[in-house]
Amino acid sequence: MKKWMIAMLLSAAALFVWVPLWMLLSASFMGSREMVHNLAPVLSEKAGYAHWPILPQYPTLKPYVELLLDAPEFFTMFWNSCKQVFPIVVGQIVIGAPAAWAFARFRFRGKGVLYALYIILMLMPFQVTMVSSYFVLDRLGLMNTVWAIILPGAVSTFPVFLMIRFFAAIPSALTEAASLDGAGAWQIFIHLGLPLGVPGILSAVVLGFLEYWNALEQPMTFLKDQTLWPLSLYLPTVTAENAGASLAASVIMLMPALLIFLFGQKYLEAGIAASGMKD
Amino acid sequence: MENTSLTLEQVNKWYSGDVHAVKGVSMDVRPGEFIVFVGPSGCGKSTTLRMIAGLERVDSGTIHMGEMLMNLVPPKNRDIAMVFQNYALYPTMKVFDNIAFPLKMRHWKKEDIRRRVTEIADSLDLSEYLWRRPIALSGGQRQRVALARAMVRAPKLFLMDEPLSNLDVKLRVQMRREITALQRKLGTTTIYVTHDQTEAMTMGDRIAIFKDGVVQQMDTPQMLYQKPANLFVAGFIGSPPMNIWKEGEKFCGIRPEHIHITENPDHIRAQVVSVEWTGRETVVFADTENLGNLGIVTDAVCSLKVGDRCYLALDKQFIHFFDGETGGRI
Repeated sequence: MKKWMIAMLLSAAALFVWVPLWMLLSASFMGSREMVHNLAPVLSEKAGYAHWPILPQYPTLKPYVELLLDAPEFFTMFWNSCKQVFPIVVGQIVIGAPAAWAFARFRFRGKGVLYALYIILMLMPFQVTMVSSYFVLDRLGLMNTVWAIILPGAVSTFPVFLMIRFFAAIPSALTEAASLDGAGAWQIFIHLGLPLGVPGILSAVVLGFLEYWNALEQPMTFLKDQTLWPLSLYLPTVTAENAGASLAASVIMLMPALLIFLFGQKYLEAGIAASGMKD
Repeated sequence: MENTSLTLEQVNKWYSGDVHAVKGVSMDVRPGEFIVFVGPSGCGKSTTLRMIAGLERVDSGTIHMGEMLMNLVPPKNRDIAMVFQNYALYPTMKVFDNIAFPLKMRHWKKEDIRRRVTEIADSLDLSEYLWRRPIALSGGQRQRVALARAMVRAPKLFLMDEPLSNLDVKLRVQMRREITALQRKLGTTTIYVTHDQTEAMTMGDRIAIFKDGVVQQMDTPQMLYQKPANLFVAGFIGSPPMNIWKEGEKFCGIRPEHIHITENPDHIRAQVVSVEWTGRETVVFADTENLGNLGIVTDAVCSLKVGDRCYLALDKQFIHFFDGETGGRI
């Protein structure tokens, strides 16, 4: 196939992905009157078709001003999200990386069974373990505290599974060389495992962040107190009247995830290039 | 400089239950000796080296360094340095940190580390590459970094696992000489694994020839060449290899340089099938009636052509005899 044909096809596919994002972005700069006017057929009973201009006719920062200056609950929820997601991600690495290293590099009794257990737990969706988690958290007295979100997230099995792949790919000659150079198991992990596992660790960070930043079920199930709710629960409260602010909120909510991904992508590529070392 | 002797006694290794990779290997390595393990691939030479390093468990038998039993000592406490075939440089560290790593692990002071690394880098012409990562080095430079990392802390024992096999021929010859010179200078007991018999013959004080997990013969290069212990050693050492034929119940062998081309019709009749001129000498291969195809090394000036008839005289005092069944030297 010709190069330009491939480019056309890919551009068309990319357009499908980008159009909703662009709609979101452009509409977040729309005044509420313009928005109501454009969306009247959808939001109210007016006849005709809704339309969505490529650029707002009267661009304004009003939705952002409203959201950032006049809606303190938005900040609380943003901060709540940070308070829940960052400890989860840190925990996933602090607990998950050594666990993954052990699975990838050591032989020990019961490893196969333990690994199978990890896989089974990983394959279970949240809804399956929701009730049992509820009971456990309730017994531990963690219900309705941020720990109900943080602790199960921090010991999640997926990042371990992901990092095992990366750690297992490190050539064994390197760890053997290090052990002859006088490094013990822990030093090998710190000096070789972690730096060489950076691509894996960062991809776990990126995926973990995205998963918990967007989590809905866990906070809805385990947090009754609305003051603890994270940002992901803000969007469902949006109504027709504050549609503008909600779109602005979506954009702002997207930002950290986007930044984390862009930051992570750079490291992912660097990591892949660095590990191109010939074995 | 601390030198150590190394003693292996009836060392065995089984893989996955039934593959007997190393069979009852015993040897005594004297302090400061340069020993080469040589043999075809899968002969157990690398496995033996890895057991000495502590990277493989010894299934039975003992390994001593000096008086100390090493079987259960973890690699990091053995005070052994090893150069790997793929160099095994730490890709995330600069050259300096690669060389400094063994010293860091031994909690040397920063100042001392810097002095020592600079010193060793100077001696191996690595000074200008200290702040590069291994990926930005050529094969020869990586090889030097691996050597530097091994030598930086004056270990009791050097182990080298085919360290030159990834280099081109010219560099290999040069590094071969450098490694031998360095070893002589440092006087550290060294075990060097290779599958290349030229490397083995030129580098080793003594050579252990492995086949099927068994040490066939361990001796000086001269003795291996002049008095091979069995048919395998006779055929493995020397290029072109020893001519071997069966005579009654036993095997006979003679080196190509001990066959002379004559014009005397009383000698063995032969027909030339190939002539290889190397510049310094000519290697002639000729078919005979009773002894099969014989390789002969003769002068550079040789008028024989493929298809020519000639006569061959064997220098009787240099004929080796081997047992027809065991292949052992008689």
